[in-house]
Amino acid sequence: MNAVIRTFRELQAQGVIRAFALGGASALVFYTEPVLTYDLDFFIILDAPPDKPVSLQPIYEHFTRHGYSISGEQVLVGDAPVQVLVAYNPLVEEAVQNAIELPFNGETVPVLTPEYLLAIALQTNRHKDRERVRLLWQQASLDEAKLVDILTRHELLERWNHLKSQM
Amino acid sequence: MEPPEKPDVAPLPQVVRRVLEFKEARRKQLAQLPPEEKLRILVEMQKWARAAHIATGRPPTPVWNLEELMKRAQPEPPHQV
Repeated sequence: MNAVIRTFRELQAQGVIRAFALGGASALVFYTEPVLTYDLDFFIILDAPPDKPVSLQPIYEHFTRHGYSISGEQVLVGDAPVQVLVAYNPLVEEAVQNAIELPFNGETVPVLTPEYLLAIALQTNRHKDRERVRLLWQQASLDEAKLVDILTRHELLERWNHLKSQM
Repeated sequence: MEPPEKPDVAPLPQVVRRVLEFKEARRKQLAQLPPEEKLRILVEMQKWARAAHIATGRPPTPVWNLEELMKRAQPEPPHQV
């Protein structure tokens, strides 16, 4: 993971990406009990004008130069597929911009905060996402004021209140 | 529409309740572990899942190579002039 982070930081230094952060279920290792997952999800914000077509090719090429293999749209770190996801809506973009550096294996990793992880899971709203919401609510140290602010601005508060009433 | 009822463990026998409480406490303990340790547990979970898939005739699921994941990056050597 550290080597992957360094590669992302190089892409950032080269101006290919503006920001990146670990999200999805693999980010939960920083906040909750471990949950079974098979992907490392990295959300990125590209450093390109919004009207330019999105291409991840320069990112894949950079990873290839560092000896990683690419399978479909995933970078393989040993057997672990790294999924590179362009921030696909305002909530995810805001989440990446507000990611925090957390210590991991002697270095640091930019990780989405638990409040944003919860909000994104709530927005995605599959069965497994609702399970992640529950885990974060029960086990992570959440800043409730921050959470309510995010959920309000992204119109997720009603869904949250409904789900919370069932927990 | 009536909201769904909250799960209620009260009618369960005390021995079962004790087990559930123990499990809940254990999960909270797991949440406090360092991320590196949780990653190791995650890989163990992947091994179990893979074994279960094979045992039930389903395609095997991947197991991450922990050593590869924990590999520290080597800084690139300076360019020769």
